[in-house]
Amino acid sequence: MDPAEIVGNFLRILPQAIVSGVALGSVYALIAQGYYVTFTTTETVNFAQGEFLMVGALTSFTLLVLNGVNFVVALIVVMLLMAAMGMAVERVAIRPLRQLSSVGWVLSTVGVSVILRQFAEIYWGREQKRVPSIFGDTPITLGNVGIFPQEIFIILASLLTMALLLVFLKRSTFGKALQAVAFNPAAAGLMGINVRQMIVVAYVISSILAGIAGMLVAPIIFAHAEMGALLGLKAFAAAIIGGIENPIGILVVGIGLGIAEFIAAGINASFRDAATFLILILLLAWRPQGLFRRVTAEKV
Amino acid sequence: MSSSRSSFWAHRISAPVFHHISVAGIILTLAALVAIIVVPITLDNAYFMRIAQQIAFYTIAAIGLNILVGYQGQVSLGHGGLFAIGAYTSALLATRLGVPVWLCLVGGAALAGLIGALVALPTLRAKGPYLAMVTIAFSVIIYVLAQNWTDLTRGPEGIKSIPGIMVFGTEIRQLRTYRPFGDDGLAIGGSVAYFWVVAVSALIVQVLSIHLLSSHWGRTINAVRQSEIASETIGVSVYRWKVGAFALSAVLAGLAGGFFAHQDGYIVSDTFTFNKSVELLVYVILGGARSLFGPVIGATVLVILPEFLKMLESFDFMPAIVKPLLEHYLLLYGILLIVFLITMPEGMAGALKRVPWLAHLLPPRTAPETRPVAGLANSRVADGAARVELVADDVKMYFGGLRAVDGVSLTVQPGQIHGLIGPNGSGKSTIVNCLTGVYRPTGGVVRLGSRTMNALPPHAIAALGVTRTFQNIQLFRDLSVLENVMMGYHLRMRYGFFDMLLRTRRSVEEEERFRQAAMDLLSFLGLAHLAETEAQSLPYGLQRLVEIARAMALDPAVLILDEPAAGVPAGEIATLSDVIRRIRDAGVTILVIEHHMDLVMGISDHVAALDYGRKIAEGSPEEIQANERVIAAYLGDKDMFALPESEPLVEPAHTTNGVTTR
Amino acid sequence: MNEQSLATATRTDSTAGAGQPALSVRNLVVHYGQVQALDGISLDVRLGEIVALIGSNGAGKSTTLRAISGMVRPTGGTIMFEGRNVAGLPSHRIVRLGLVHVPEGRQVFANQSVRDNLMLGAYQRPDDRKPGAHLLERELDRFPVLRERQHQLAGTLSGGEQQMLAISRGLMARPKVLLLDEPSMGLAPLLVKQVAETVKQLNSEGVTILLVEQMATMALSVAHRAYVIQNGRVVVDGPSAQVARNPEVIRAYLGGAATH
Repeated sequence: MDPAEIVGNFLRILPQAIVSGVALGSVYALIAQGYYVTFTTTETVNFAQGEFLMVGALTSFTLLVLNGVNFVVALIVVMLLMAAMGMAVERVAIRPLRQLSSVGWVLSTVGVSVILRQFAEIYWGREQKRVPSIFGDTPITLGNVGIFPQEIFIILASLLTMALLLVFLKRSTFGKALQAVAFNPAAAGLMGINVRQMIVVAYVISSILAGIAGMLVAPIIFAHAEMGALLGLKAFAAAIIGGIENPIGILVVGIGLGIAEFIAAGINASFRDAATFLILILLLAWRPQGLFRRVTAEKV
Repeated sequence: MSSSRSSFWAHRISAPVFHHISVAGIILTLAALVAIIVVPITLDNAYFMRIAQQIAFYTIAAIGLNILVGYQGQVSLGHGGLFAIGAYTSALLATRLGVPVWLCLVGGAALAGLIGALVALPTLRAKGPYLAMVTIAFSVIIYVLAQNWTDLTRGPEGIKSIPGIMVFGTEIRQLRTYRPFGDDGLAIGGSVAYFWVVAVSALIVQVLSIHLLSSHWGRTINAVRQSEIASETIGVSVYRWKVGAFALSAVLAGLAGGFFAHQDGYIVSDTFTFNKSVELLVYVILGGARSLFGPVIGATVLVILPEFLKMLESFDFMPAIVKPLLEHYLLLYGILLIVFLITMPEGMAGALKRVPWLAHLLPPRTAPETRPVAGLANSRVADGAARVELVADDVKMYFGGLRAVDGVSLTVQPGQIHGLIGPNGSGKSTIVNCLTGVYRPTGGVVRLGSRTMNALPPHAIAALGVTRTFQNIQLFRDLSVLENVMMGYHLRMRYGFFDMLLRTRRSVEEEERFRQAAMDLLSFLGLAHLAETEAQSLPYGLQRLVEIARAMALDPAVLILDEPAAGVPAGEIATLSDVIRRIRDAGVTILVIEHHMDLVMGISDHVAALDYGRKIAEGSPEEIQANERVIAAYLGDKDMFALPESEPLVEPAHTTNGVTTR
Repeated sequence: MNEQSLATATRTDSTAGAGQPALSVRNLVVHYGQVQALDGISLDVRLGEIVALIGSNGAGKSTTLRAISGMVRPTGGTIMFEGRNVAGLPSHRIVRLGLVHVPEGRQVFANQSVRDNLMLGAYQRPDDRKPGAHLLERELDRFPVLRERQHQLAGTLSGGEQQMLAISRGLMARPKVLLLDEPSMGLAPLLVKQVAETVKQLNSEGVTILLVEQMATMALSVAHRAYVIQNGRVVVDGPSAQVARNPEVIRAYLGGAATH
């Protein structure tokens, strides 16, 4: 292929890539905020976050499609389910292992992800489930760029959720207490903050974010048992590259990742995932602390 | 306990390689070999042979992963990808280039090792869960490449007709059934022969890994896991060792993948998903991380498990549970993984170790008894060239706006004990970290004699002859006292990887020499009777002495003791003082940072006092104790705070030990 | 100290000490893993008093406060506060009872504003946290610099300002007994003097204080009574005037005669 053709191709796919990429990217960012919340409070993450998203998506399928439940009710049910699962993961896979070893929780949450994936296959089967969007499935076209109403909803809903999360963390007393626990658990305890409870709350928040993301993304990506693995992983990469303690950085990188992925897909569909991960590995190799984290000499 | 007569099992043989292997070890190996040869002949079943082959090559992969995850303590979720690389490389070399299969296997292992190293090199520079994430991504990338790079891998359709190993000019699978006992006797088919190949390879890998792990190599890998900073201090380049461990585990995963490819002669990309990485991890965790036989136990149990379930299914046993478990046996893996992580971190091997008679089969941890020698062996010669000063020249260390050290100059004269005191936050620990390479000074020069050390990392400074102990004792907790001290000889151990792998006479004799030296050192410090005790079980004061012993093993020119009295019970301070003096008398220059005034004033030839990042006084202990500025630094300026001068009007309550009486 | 301030001191002395001690520690033993940090500490703090706990570094002073406030679990002994033994309770419950610890090194939440730090101090008292709440306003005014910088991130404050913030934050919890952990640490001498004045001021407002200090002169100049800790034990105690003149104190800090 001659260079002019390549550039021409690139420019042609760019607008669509940006539009679809922002939608997908905001989902990555939403999932990644979950990693941020648990990592800052506990220095652990839930490697099964992607599977939590998947359970959220498939549950919404069961509720919306199979049982004709109202969207808002379904959302509430999914959030409650996610909260329960988050508490369970913290209690079973994180808390006992944090004391035993410094990396055992990685293995246990990976174990959880495997278990959830298998359960989903057993309960929902392996086929992909179609979850219709409540906004209809006809794309809106502007020139040669098309966008599904669901994608618009995704962008708005994710940004809204992230904004609410940020407001909660920075403005509400509870959120400030959570930040205090993240910053200095011992001093937080001296304020009367129940640190153990807060850690559970962090995991609940993180899980709820995954569940919301699952419901948002289900109409776009078919809901199926394998959907969570790659999503969770890419979101984790976005979290690390964005600087895992920086929610704004995470947002920026998440969206950037979505766009990059669509560009890669436009160039060669089958290598889309490989290309994105390759970029991530290279970025990490270059700047392991992430793009937005400041590195200062730490007083030991 | 005495020599060779004590136990038949522990008796050792002498040989150029595989030196000093115990009788127990030889018998165990021979028994395994016999089992490998005999069992297939008696079983005479291609189906069982296939399972046995799988056990064998998964054992190889698990041994490698155990070295990484169990012993070195890093989590890799990408070994499925390395397994895939081994499989595809071997398959392609054989089908596309017609390379002899033996070479293909080597090529697969080598490429997997190379790629593993390439992945590890950038990733291991960062701390945190990055390796886990990068290895997951790596797994996914390999899978995607396998699925989609169809020109190379033929994707889901797979590579067919991968040649088997050539045996006596015949391809192994074409081996006509060989009947050594006449036409009616037993038959040996291709599957049996292939099992022998893989199983013997696995046995070799197992034996060599035992050599490695019970040698200094294994000790170093363990040490790095337990305290990276202490390892650096004794001269171990932690980064290189981590990458090395990763590469070694990658080679073994690749070798296993190669054996997998040639097993049926057919591989498809669907096999090499991320789940393969999880499977390998489960083998290791279940078998027992950090156990010599954990991998083979884990591989055996978990390869047989799905077959066992299939058998249950065929007998229609509890179909409601068995059927879904079989279809989703990964579910079982996931559950087992979590259960074992929480409840049985030592895995099945750990459980088996508790069976008394089995424990005797394990290779003993120690070599034969060495007789402790009282007094210091003549190896402790204070090298004239090593008698240089340690100098801090107007050193500054700023952390952002915080001036932790603000222009401190210190000279530690050779052969002296130099004390460094100062209240909290005065900069004592910071300056020590500058002297030992933990921090790079913002300004000023740190030097040993004329050699500037500012930009050197801790392990390089250790190589120059400056070492230290830590305020929070950084012993290698799981290692014995003797092993901790032997780690101190790391820089002087000149036998290499292959020496340890093959257990050459030279490596064993060197190890023995260092063991003797370590025992001498322990005797010198009065610790010889504790040589075999696990470090973390010692009382704190003794742990402190062990840490000092380990530092002494470096034969340092300068020994820096960072708050050696911290946590040491009052009754043991005298012993500690005595030990430090004897080390000085043996020719080592010592810098002691301390709060414990009785100790530091009692042993120091010269004392410097810091406050607010600056030196405020310097002199003999008596001078410092009487120095007004020093007293003010600790207790406060008497002039600044008016102390109550006369008795209060109310009769003070008489209090002793908190009990108030009037 | 001139006649007038001595008189003030003694007037406080006569009201202080009436009745049961507010805080009573008996035979407190604390281990950090294998290391024994406290070997049977006993002390009393009576309502309205300032009690000083002094000693050299590593002697166990901060450990004592940490055990009292629940940051560290004692291995043995009792800590009686308002009639109940609080030894071993988690810190968030002890604070609720009115035993407030201003920790060593300030430990303000550097990534949150001064105002938010104060509000967190009143975490379990919603009424005290509301904007405009009386206590919040009072604490903002106690040290004018805090009101000035109320929206600034606490990490941007100087050491002395952070100390003021940490103390006010502690006061937001309405302490019955305030545990002050080495407030002079890392502060320039003039600031240390300021801290001493603050301690006296707080006490005159009625706050009972247990003051841990490495800087003996500062602590003894404000406290009514003092305990000297060495190697995890109390070696000297009594009214601060007596303790100040006791040569044991200097020896506890700088060691005995150098034996060489």
